[in-house]
Amino acid sequence: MKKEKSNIKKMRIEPYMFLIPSFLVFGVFLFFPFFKTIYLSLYKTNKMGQAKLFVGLDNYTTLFKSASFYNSLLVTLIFVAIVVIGSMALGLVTAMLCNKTFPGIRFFSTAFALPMAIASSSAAMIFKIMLHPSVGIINKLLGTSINWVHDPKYALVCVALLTAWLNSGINFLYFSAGLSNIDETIYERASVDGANGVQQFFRLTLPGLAPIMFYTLVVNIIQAFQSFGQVKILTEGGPGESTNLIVYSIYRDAFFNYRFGSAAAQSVILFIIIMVLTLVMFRIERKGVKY
Amino acid sequence: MSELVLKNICKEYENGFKAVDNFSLEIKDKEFLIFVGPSGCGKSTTLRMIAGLEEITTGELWIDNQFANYLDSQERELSMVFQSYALYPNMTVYDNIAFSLQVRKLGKQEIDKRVQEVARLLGLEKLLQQRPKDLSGGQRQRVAIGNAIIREPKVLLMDEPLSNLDAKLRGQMRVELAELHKRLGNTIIYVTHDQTEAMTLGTRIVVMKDGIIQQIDAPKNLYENPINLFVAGFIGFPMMNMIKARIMIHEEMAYSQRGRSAYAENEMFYVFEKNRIQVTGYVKEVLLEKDYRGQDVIIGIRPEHISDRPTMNATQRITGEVIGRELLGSEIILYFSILDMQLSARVEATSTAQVGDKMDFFLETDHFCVFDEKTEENLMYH
Ligand SMILES: Nc1ncnc2c1ncn2[C@@H]1O[C@H](COP(=O)(O)OP(=O)(O)O)[C@@H](O)[C@H]1O
Ligand SMILES: [Mg+2]
Repeated sequence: MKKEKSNIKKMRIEPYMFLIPSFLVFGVFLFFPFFKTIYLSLYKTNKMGQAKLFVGLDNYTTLFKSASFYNSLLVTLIFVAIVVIGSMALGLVTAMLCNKTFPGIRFFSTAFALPMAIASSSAAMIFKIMLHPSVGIINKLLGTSINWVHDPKYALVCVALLTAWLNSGINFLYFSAGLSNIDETIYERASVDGANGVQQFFRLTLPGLAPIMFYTLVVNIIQAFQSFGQVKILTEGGPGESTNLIVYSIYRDAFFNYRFGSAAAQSVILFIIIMVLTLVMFRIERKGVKY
Repeated sequence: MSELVLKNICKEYENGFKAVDNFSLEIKDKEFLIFVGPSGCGKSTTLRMIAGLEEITTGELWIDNQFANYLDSQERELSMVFQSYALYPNMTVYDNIAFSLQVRKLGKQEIDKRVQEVARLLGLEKLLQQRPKDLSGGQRQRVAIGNAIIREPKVLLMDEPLSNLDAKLRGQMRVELAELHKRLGNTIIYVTHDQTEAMTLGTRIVVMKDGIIQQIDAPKNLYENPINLFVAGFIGFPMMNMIKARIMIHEEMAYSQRGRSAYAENEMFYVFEKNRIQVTGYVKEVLLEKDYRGQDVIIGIRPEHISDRPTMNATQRITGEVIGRELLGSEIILYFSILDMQLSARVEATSTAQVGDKMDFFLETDHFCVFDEKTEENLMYH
């Protein structure tokens, strides 16, 4: 009797023991920084980033009174919109191009998936050279002399398009997988039924991609919000504050202005924005997409 | 009016494989035409060339006196039922049926009227809001047919539409398809590898082998008058009995019997091992005329031309051992062995023959097919 009882007890504990290693890793690298950030956002800090003075929600109220913060939000919003739409469109078009085999398909698939493997900062370096006002190849090709990254009109679009291209690689993979799940013969039937290419795209391809489209969208939005390296190298938030995305603003507050408290508060706000967006999307998905 | 003409059509795939060779055919209005042949003989390829899904390598396709080789599928105004049905998984049954009208931008009311009509015809009224994945095989097949007929197409193409159904449903759908054709009165080209389907549905049948047309004929003619050994063996169940034999007439016979003249002069026989079957009438005339004396042939005998008792027509006798017995309701198929061959006979259900019995079978020699052993052509083809 007693033995049986201890057996049951053992069975209850064992599964959790297996979870300990992963929880340790999560704890050290995820939960600790996460809670530490929330903690920091309630303090004023010294230059070493140590919490010195408890100020409650002061960091937050200051932020919500600052025009610069609202600018960051707006810039981030525009940036995310361009990046997500651009990278998904690019991924979808390239995936559709490579959906049918043709000679040289391997080369093109590799080329389209390649941005995935490029570090954002090195891509930014190369773009910086290409976008150079006097020697850059872009100006030479277009016959213009625009100072792309130092003109407030163009800087944000440039960074956003670069990011869209960088993110399109993984979208190419997602959409290729999605397309290969669509039965080829339904296109044959649609052609015989009299549907042209556009009708086939909107009535067969897009609905067929709906399941994967949703996850791609979520991943893309989160990824876009977190873009940093290309901003740092290409524009450093400038000119003025025209490319001062929240993530870059956090970096600047923390490591230039040594206002770790404010930076932490912005991080928390960014986290909340992403979380709410994701939850909303999941809610919509559960209602809307049927497959 | 819908007339299709195929002139010397060939299909060679990129890998150099010649799937269809010199295919010529005229398809008349309101015909129920069948392409039949073993798997891989090029039936689907031919159908897909007609539908515009596969390029025609050489030859000409004419649809209603219009040269159609280079028309897109969309422009050919045909409709097709695919073997896998190819239903649109993300659309309801309603949209699946209405699709071809929707892409033509017909009015909503007109579409609705016709969808309801087709749904009633096919018994799909209650399923219109379902999605394909919730349907059974038979229902999916009906949806595919519904989609194909709603447009009242010139020509309806069907690629093995029944092959994914179980035997019972297949039989049932066969009857319904025949009725549907009568009611709609459109031209149907129907692909199948199942000769029963071909024989029951078709008004005309094209038998194919290795990309080449063997024979085009009405079901009855195909059965009674096959052009060669392949068609004879492919059409009909149980399969036609094939016996390798040598044609001999009296003199040679006498010679082989070393002078013992047991037969009247000029009598002709099929000889295999110790069996002799006398050849008479029309068959004998043809064999004499074509001078097949002393040559090897293959005789083909339909199971219904072998009887377990002598009759007016079945007079020639062979002896075999019964090795199988299949009751098919009103009749029995007896399988029997003679030498190292297995033959089958279709006899009346009153037959008392049992497995293991050694018994005499009687042959209706007038109905024999005789094939040249090398060319495999039916010498009796007329
Ligand atoms: N795309 C292709 N490339 C090369 N060979 C093919 C292709 N499609 C079919 N074939 C070959 O052509 C022959 C005829 O195919 P098909 O028309 O599908 O036969 P079936 O009579 O069974 O419908 C087969 O031997 C098949 O292997
Ligand atoms: Mg086929």
